[in-house]
Amino acid sequence: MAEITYAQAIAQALREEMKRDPNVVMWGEDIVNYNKGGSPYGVYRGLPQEFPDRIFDTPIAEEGIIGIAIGAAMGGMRPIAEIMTVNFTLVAWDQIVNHAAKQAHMFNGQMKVPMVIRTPNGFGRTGSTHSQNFDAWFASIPGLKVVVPSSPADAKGLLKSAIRDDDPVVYLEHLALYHRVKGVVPDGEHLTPIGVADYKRRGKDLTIVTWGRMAVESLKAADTLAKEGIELEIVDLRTLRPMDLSLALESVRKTHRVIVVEEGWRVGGLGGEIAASMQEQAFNDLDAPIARVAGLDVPMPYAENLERATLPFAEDVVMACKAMMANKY
Amino acid sequence: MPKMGFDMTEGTVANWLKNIGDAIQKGEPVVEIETDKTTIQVEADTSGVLLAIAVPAGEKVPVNTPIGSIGAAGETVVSAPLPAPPAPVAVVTEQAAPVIPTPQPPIPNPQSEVKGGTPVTMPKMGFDMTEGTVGSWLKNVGDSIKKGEAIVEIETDKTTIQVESETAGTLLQIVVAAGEKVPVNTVIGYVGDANTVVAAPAPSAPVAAAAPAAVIDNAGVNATPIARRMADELKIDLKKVKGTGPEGRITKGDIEALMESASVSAPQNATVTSATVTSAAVVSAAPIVSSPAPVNTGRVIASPYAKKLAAELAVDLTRTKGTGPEGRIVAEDVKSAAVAGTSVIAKPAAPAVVPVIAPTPAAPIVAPVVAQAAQPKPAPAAAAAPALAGTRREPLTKIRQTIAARLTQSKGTVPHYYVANSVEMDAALAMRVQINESLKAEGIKVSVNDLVVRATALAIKKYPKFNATFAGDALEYREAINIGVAVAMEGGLLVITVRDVDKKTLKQIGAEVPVIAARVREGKGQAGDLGGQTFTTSNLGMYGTEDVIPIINQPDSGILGIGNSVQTPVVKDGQIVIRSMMKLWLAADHRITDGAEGAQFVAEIKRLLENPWALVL
Repeated sequence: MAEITYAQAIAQALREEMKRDPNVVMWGEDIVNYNKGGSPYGVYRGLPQEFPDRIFDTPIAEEGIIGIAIGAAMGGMRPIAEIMTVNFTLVAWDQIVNHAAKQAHMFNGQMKVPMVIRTPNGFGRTGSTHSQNFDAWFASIPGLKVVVPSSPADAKGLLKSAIRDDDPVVYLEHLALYHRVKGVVPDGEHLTPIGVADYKRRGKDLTIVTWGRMAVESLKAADTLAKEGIELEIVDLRTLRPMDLSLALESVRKTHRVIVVEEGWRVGGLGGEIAASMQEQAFNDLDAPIARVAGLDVPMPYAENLERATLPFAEDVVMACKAMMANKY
Repeated sequence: MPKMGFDMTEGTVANWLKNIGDAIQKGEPVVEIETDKTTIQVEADTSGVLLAIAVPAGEKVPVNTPIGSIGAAGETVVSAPLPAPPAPVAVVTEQAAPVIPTPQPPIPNPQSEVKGGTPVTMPKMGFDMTEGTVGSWLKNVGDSIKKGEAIVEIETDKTTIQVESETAGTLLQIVVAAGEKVPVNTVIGYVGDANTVVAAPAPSAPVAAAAPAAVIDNAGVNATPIARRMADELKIDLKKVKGTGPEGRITKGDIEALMESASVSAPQNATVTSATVTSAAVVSAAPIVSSPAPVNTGRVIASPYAKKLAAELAVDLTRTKGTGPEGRIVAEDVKSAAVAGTSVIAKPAAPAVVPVIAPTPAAPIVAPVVAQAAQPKPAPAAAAAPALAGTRREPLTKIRQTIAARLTQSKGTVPHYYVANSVEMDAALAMRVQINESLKAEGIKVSVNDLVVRATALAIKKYPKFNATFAGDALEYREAINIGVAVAMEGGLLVITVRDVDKKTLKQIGAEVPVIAARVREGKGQAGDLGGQTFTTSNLGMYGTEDVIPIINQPDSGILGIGNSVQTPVVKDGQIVIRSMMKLWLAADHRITDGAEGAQFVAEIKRLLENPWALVL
């Protein structure tokens, strides 16, 4: 058990799984030779040198990166396709949605696509075409599994589970977490099950349903609010597809108040889906409408101050919680 | 006891077709049930062995009362506080009333499950008990437990009892912590082999659906929003309605059909509500009476949870001020109202409401619901303040809380009037001596109180207004003459119910009262022991008290305070003679009767007691 960063946890999972299974291979843009190697963000320094015949740089051709991975997966490999940012998956959307996600269904399970698409999702100080969050998009596609770790332990455990899963798993990382978030990670065989939510904090007053970076922001908000006597209960969904709302429902039956916190756009975001599902199943336990904290419905501005105004942070969660506790919703 | 028809509220076990220990096939007739209309054979809905007969042949019990248990051979049925019998004999009838209750399996707890352990469930300790509070765990997790050993204390509004373990083993897990309230049959802990593994968190199961049906709490019932709203407005208990929608969902059409069938059977000009009331079984609460004007007229805006909570705490939302956006009532408002007691509904169907005060009427009795806005508050500020030096602070027990709330409400909202009369008891006392002499061999004793109870019932027959309840825009007369008898218990006061007193002999009454009182004192009350009374008596004569001026036990029309029989010089025909005089004080609801009626009613009781052979004829 060591305290390591989110990026180091990803590296640990990759290293362990590549050692464990020779069929695990990886390719992406600028992951071997750019800068000092180990992804453009230095997530797994040294790993390409350890596995020179299993980690490859590719041309700038995301459709090809995904397509090759699908073929390799169908052929028996366990490929990891790395897309430099989630924004570049857009050109490979046909491969992901129409091919990776559909094979098992169209061939009655005779054909499986055990691949992982690793990609940083969310903002990154890079403007309107490079700072988007598509977790709700991926989560809406049957045939995919979508995981979004918020802690180093989950980053490791979910990546190992994703590599071993027989379905295509979209593994959404976050630039803002890579080197800033540290946590204790179990050594060796640590698997976080896909499709199981987790309490990141227990409290009695208000339930936060969230995932990824916003789980980290929500934890900060909880510290602030605790000083004012408001105890948040934070449910980290961890997997967006298949989604496990059992803890969120259990929690709302205790707190009777829910705020869904997500980084992505509010319209068409998962907050709406989660709110709808929860009111269907726990209507009589709600003491206030389910509220949402989400990104503003605008293209991401490049100016730092405007970017900050667009995105949700801990202080937005604090404000929303205070409003709800004051019966303003 | 199956419900075999829309208006069936009780049935008689005519004949058991199987003996205890007999093997039973699913679908095989087990017992014959007799109603006033028909006799049918009830088939087992499970295979197994007849483990227990709870209601012997010849006895009449309300519907839904467990009458026996079927289970695996070798399984035992714990009789004490009857924790969820293995499989109450349930029923299929071709008459298929809209209301076929199904036995409730233990409610799995969402948080965790122990595989292999025996669940300890919240026992159902009385006909009208719907939930209970875990008072304290007598064992810790890991403690070994003998079969029959007490493991947990359960508190209801009426009593506290110790629950004994059905099996030997180790307390594996405490699911419901001390102080928490859960519906009956909820798993509160697990006993089993010490090596049993505690399984990982299971997906949560909706709990609300499992709550039994004593109170109108339509939350959690599978119904469409519009059906639920209609049911709430019409005070229809959805748990007793059969749904025809997907997965048995209750739809608007089901409610409309129900209303239609109810109004067909109702008196001509009955309103919708009273039509439903007439059709008894569906209804367990009457409309709310408005003494002061409601705060909210029209549709009440409240959060779903506030509504659910209001049903649980018997808070009247039409009288509750909302502090949420646009005046929405939120849970906090309901809690405040419950604490302040400003908009508390008398819950006739709730087990929560017991003391001097009737709880659940058996099915057909529709109690009035009285609500009020202004009333003396039980000094909440004082209650919240820390105890002064030299003062010991003792939190109210549940029974005290209930007594406080109910009697404050009764005295605050019901206009009481009082009429007293003195009864010459010499003839009655002499007759009682003779009766008891003749009953000596049978070990039955008729008390003075029994004489008064019987006289009261006969007087009610003559003055049926004392068998009515106040229902806002109507008086509702009850058919059965059930008399409540206030019984002092450790920790508080309870009213036990003697049913159909007008049809019972003094011997029957004398035999019945001590048995019911003992059962209730021990926390082993049975269906019908509490609630459903139409009038209550309170006797403090045994303490030498001469004048007992009581407070009405809602929803009764009145209460009779009975004093001691005291030898007193009395002037008779110009002579001073010594007579045993007993004082009777009637406290009556002035909304139902007036003083002249009260005076005549008491005079009739006096006449009967002074001519006591009328009580046995």
